Amino acid sequence: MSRAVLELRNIGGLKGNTRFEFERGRVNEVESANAMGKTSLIRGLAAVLSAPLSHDELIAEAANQGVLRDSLKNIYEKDAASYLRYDGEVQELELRADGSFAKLPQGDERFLLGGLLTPEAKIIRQLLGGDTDFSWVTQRLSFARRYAEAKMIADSELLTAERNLEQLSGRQEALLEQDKIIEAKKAERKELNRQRDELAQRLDEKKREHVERIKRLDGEIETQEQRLGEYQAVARRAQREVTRIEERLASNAEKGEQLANQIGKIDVERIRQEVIANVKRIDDDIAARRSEAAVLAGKRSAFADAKSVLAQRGETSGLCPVCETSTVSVGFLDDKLSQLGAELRQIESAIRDLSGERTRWLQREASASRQIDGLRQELKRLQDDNKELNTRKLQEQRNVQSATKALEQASTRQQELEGERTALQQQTGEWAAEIHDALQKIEARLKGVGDEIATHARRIQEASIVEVYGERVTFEEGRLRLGRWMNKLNGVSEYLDERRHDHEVRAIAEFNAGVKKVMADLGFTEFDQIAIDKQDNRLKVFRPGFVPQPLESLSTSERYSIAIALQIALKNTYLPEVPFFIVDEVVVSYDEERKEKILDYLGKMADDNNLYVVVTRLSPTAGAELSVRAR
Amino acid sequence: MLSQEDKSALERIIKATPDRDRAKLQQQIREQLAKMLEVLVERGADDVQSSP
Repeated sequence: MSRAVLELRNIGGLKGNTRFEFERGRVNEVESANAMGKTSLIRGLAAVLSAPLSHDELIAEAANQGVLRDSLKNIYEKDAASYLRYDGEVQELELRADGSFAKLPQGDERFLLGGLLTPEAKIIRQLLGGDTDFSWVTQRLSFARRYAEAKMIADSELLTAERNLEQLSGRQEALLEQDKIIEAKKAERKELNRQRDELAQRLDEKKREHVERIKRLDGEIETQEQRLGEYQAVARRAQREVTRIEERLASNAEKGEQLANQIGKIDVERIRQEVIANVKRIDDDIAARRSEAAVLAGKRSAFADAKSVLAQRGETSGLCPVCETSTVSVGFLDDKLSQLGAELRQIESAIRDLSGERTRWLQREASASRQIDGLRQELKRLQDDNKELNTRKLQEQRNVQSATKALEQASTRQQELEGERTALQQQTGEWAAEIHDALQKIEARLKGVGDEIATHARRIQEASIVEVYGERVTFEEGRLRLGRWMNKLNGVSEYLDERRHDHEVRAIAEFNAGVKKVMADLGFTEFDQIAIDKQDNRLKVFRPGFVPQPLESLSTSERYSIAIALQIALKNTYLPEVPFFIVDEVVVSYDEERKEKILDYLGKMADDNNLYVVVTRLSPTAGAELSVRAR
Repeated sequence: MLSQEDKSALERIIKATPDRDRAKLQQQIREQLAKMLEVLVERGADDVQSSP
């Protein structure tokens, strides 16, 4: 016969160390008078069998049953302990002074629901309170709980996977956002390039326009300079011409004065008189000389005749045929003729000279007239020349004025053109600087946009590789893997849920069958059926004839009867592996006959299932010591 | 969706783990899920490698 040993230290009302033994396969009755520590024993045993606790519902149940750590320790002591040894197993529970566990057993928290029936047990509370909701039977006690637990883990993993997928989706959205940003940046870059090209084109056009305008202005300026040169040349030439004309006028004036003087100096009358006198003298002289020549000619003719006569006569000398008084010779005649000829020639020469002189005298007058005429003509010519010169001078002076005016205008125009050119250069410089500034800004912005695009592209590249379950994979592969994993987890979750449902249904069926058997074994014939409805997990009680009866209308005794039947069925159905079953004080509510019947049944149950059944009984006749007696 | 092998593994864990050891049940379920994931990742990698 194996035994379980329970050693308690400072548990509840049991101060110090106490030791109890229980026999397996028997009902172990704990007997004592009131306030001797029965409840503390049960709580110490239940605590070491059920700890550690995890579910809130079972922690609450432990609180109801008084087996939570604060309820366990003796209020006068610092620590407490409960040690249970059975079948080679040792379960130890130790509480420190601060209420924490120094040692924890490996109990089964379900024991609080399935293996412990006390006045504070959940079944008793519900039956007394009329609460028919027994869903906790399947949820907390059946395998359904394990499937639900496993499903919860699968769902937790699924939730994690969903979050990971959401994160990936978030990253995908972030990537799309990055793509959008890049597209926007590229559009901005395109626009900036367009603006830059436009500005560059404008700059080129402006430069060309500027060059053309400058060229045109330079051309105009050059033209003006040429004109200025021309006007200056014209003015200088006209001025020189004026000067030259003035010089010529002065010269003419001088010449005119000289001519006038010359004219004044020529006395034509006197010359005429001299000419007349000399012509007369010469005419007279010529006449004289001609008379002399006539005489000589007569002589020469006479001598020639004489000679001719002598010749005719053939004489060389003879009487002078002319004078006929003297003899003459041919020689003589020849001499005479020669002499006369010489004299005639002299006279003729003299006449010719005189004629020449006469002519010269006559010519002198004519010459004087001609000279005067000439001088007058010359004077007139000078006067005409002066008139023309004055006309020309006036004209040239006008030319000078005109050229000077044109020069001034050209100079003004040139200054205007120079000013225009300077202004144009300045304007060109200003807008060129503006365009250059704008171009520099665009270039800077282009560089910035380029950097931003590169940054975003790098981010996209970096974000395209993700770590999914320990492996670095592409974004799409990560999504695929997560999708597959979620499908798998969904499959697991669905499968576990189906299994949970199956077990709930089956466990309820087994439980109901167990209740029915216990009811039959205990001879509880006042009910046709006590069962949990599979549909709503509500406890239904049927009187004979399958007449449903509300819990509220049951007597307390009936409720306790139902409670023991349910608790036994729970133990057998859901906690067959736990070798302990505790019934505390509840049996006191039954009449002696039923009490005995129940104890007998518990004894059979302990024997059949090789259990340690522990039952507390109030025994006013018991001694002062708490005792355990196998029944 | 879920292979018979996966189902059997889950059933073994749920049936064999002592009910009192809730932490162990949770741990074993997590380990089983990790194995499923490992198989899935390996198969996924094979799928990727063998895909045209």
